[in-house]
Amino acid sequence: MSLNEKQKPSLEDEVLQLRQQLAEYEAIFDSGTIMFWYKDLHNCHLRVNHTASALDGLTPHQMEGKTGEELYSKEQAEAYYKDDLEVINSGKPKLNIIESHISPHTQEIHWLKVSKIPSRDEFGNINGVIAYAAEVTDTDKSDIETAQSRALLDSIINGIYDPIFVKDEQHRYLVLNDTMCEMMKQSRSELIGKSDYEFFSKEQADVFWTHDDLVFGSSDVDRNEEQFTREGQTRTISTIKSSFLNPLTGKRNLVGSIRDITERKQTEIELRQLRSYLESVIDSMPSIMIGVAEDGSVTQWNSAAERVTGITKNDAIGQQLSKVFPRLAQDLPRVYEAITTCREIMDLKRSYQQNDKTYYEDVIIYPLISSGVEGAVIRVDDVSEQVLMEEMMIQSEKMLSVGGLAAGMAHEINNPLAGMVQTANVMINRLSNDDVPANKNAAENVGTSMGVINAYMEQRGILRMLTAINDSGERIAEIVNNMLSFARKSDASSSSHDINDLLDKAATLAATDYDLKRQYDFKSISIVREYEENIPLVSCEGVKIQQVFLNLFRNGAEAMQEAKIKQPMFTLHSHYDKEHARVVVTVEDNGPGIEEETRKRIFEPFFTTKPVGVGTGLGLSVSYFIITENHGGEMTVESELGRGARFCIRLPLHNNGDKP
Amino acid sequence: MNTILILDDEYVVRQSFVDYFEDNLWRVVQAETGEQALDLLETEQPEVAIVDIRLPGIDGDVFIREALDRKKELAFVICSGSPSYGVPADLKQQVKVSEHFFRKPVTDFSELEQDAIRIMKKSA
Repeated sequence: MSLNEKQKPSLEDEVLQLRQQLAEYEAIFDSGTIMFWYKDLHNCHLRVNHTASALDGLTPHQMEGKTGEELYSKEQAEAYYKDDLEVINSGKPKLNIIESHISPHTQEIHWLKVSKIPSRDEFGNINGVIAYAAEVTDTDKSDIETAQSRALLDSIINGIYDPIFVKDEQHRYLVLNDTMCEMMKQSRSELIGKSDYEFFSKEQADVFWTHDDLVFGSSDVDRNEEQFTREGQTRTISTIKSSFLNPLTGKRNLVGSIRDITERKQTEIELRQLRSYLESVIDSMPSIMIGVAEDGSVTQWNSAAERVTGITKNDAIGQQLSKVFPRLAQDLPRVYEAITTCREIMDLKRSYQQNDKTYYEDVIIYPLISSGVEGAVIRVDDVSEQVLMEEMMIQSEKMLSVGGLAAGMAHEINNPLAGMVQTANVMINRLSNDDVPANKNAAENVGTSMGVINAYMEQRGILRMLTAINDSGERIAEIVNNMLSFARKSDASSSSHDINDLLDKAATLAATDYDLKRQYDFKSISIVREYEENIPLVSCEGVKIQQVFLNLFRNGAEAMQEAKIKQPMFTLHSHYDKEHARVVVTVEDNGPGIEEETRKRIFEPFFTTKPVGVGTGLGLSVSYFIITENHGGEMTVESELGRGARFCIRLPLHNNGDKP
Repeated sequence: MNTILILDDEYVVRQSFVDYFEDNLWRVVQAETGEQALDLLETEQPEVAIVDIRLPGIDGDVFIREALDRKKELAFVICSGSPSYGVPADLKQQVKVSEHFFRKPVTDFSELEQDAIRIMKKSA
């Protein structure tokens, strides 16, 4: 019998049947331990069964038409709605969600196992969420605990600032904390189950995998510093990886944590750069810079300090200052004073002796206050050159004032001097010259003869006396003349001279010079010539420069003679100093040398070591003046007792006053 | 006998020149200023003159130039107490002015005398 043949039921019967079915469904919906509810897309409860409403101490009627927010705490309502939306958006059911539910009327916590499925209209469009739930049973307890510990673990690892991850042996991500996701700039779901090759370049992923394999293969902890680039940013990370046996799967997993040290690295690099920058600044200073702690130990030591002491920075730091720089030991009390008063202390132009030479230095102590470290920096500057320059300046000034005086006085002195000397000359002529007729006549007129007068003069030493007047007068004239050399202006014009020629001429002149010959045998002095060939010509007053050389030969010869040097020798040296466009000449003897006190004053006018009457004390100062004032050059002397003296003359090719 | 003019404002110095040259058989005329010397040249004709430079009134240089302008047949030797003095360029070029400049004090009169004779003969 076919269905068609069956008697068609009446409409009343069908309605009755449907009502009966609905009542049955209602009964099922409202009875039992299963909680049901049905919500629309906007979180509004459309239907709630008794079991469900009873949990919150309400009737279904009280709940229906109300939204989650109206029924529960904001937090809870949001959590529920979030699940709802997930189902609505995905169109997939979400089953067996274990969650806690706080009943609003009792504040009791109920653990529920909730499943949510999308509800659809007759066209298949999602129009709400159907949910059913039951209070969890004892068998579910372990699930809760698992969920709880999972939640706890999640909160813990998410609360950790450093990125943390777990990978399986296939290098796939199993667990990642929030920071890790953030660092990868991916959501957790996009990362889980995937490996580094999907997010990094092959080179970078290779490195990560290699280190993964290191810890899979052993129980060691691997620490590594690596770099990776994500979205154009390169970051430096320090990773720690170790493996463990996952009790859930029985497989080895890897846990890694990452510390982003990009900023620290950057700071380190900057710090290192700053440090090396500061060090090179300090090292490039010509000053000695030494840091000292309050206990007198060295904390800083720059390259100038290394150079001067020959002690390296590494050897010096930590040592007592008195040990590595004995000369500064006397300054330690000043260091304390500087630290306690917070003021810098200066000790300028302090002299000290080394290798029979006197040096000058400025010592300045700066307290270190701002850095919080008790200590000070000692700065030492060699100012020997400067002091020498000052000495020379003073000397020049002295000479100029002598020159000015002399220029004004020369005429006034020379005229009366001429009266004396010339009259004495006439007297000698009249008293001794037989050839002058007037003399003869005058003698005869007074009843005597020139012969008698001559004899008388001879016996009484009159002629000797007159000669003494003459000689003394000549000496005065010479002194006045020399003093005039100090007057700044020189009328004589410059011409070009080969400095080697001038040296040779002066040497020849020295060999024939009457004064020299009288006192020393200049020819017995050997002369070593170290001339630079084809040396550029110097614009100068040849005669004056020659006079300077002659003067040096004269003084040197005399000094060597006095000291009875067995093999007296002059070394004459010349070279062109291209950098300063000047010619350098040195005249060195192997005489007794010059004492420090003498050396300091050697160019001073009227300073002499010779006995009264032997020298005027003007020779070297005139030379000095000729070189420095007339020619814009430099003249210095170096000497050590017992090692001869070396005069150094530096002449610019063109004096500033010259026309090129 | 040649005549020599001594021009010097200092009596002692002038006198020492006068004494020397007289002793050596010169006829000596003397003046203590340039102006006096120029007046003297109106009546005297010395062949050579020893000229001091710094003088009251006109300087020795000026005197020489003036004398040359007046076409006086006279040679000149300059002798000054100022060591910084140099014979001016225009005078150096003159045949009648000795290129040698004698500094006072003159310690060797015969040298001065030789130069005076030389310049006198050269310009004659």
